[in-house]
Amino acid sequence: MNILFQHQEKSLPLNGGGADALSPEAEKRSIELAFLRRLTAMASGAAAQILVLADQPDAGELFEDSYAQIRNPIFETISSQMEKSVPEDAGFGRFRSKK
Amino acid sequence: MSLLSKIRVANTQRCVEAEVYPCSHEDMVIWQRRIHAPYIAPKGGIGSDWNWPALFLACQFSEQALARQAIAFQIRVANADGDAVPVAQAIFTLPYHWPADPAQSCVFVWFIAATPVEALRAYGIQDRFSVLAPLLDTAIQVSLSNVLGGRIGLHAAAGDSAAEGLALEQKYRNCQLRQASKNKGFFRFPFRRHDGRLFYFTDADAVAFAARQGDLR
Repeated sequence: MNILFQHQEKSLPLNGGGADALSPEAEKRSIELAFLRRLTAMASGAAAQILVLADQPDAGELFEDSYAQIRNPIFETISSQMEKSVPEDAGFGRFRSKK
Repeated sequence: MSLLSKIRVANTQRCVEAEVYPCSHEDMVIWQRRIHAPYIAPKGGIGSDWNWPALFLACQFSEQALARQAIAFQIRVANADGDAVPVAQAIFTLPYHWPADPAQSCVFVWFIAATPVEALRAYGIQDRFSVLAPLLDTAIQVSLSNVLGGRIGLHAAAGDSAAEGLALEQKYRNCQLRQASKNKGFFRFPFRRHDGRLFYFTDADAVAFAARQGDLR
């Protein structure tokens, strides 16, 4: 595996070329190709799983954990800085005025 | 989405014109300065220690990081000069797991507050309003428009005293919200027991509740 990575570092230019990503020797290429297939399958599976999770509620998430996250004091610190940009005399505005 | 354009004056058959006003961080800051700090915080009780601008930011950051959306809004009426006066405020998240069945999603109502009568008087409003139903109706409309069937959920804050907590629970029961069972719903380790204060509307409950507010649209 180290040989493969060393070879990639040498042969893959930063500009995304990669024509020589695989070793010239046939016996090494078959091993490297098998590794790359597993790598791409794993990446594809992970990407698909992320989309599935994003589409479903996390049934294991507890209300208390979400609440604790929202009440984290860090947000008071950030907000207090942002509040300085709101004029002291700012009011609620006119009823049914367009935003 | 058909939001309310009127709200009921408490204990009467009378209605007044109202608007559901989407809020920014700035709106939360103004609420905190003009309503919360002078009229809610000194009284103590549930919500008196809330920092609304910080809660707004937290919901925006935390929920968006989890691929959810946070929405803040006020229900506003007009005083005699035509100025807007908020009578209630809320922050929602969607889609959150539904208390009755975590495999389904709902609009979760994180924080709600009503403007105290003294604040309404100070801003030239002499009426008192029933604001819980309009807040719940807005949550239902958001749920319906996001294809969540009208399902909503919320947690009744416990408060500093048992009586305060029970009174809040009773308000939710009076709106026909169902109380989630302690023994089902969220998966719990034995040392993290459900406090039994999660409430929800089913699809049918929500549609029926919204229909009862039909004359206010």
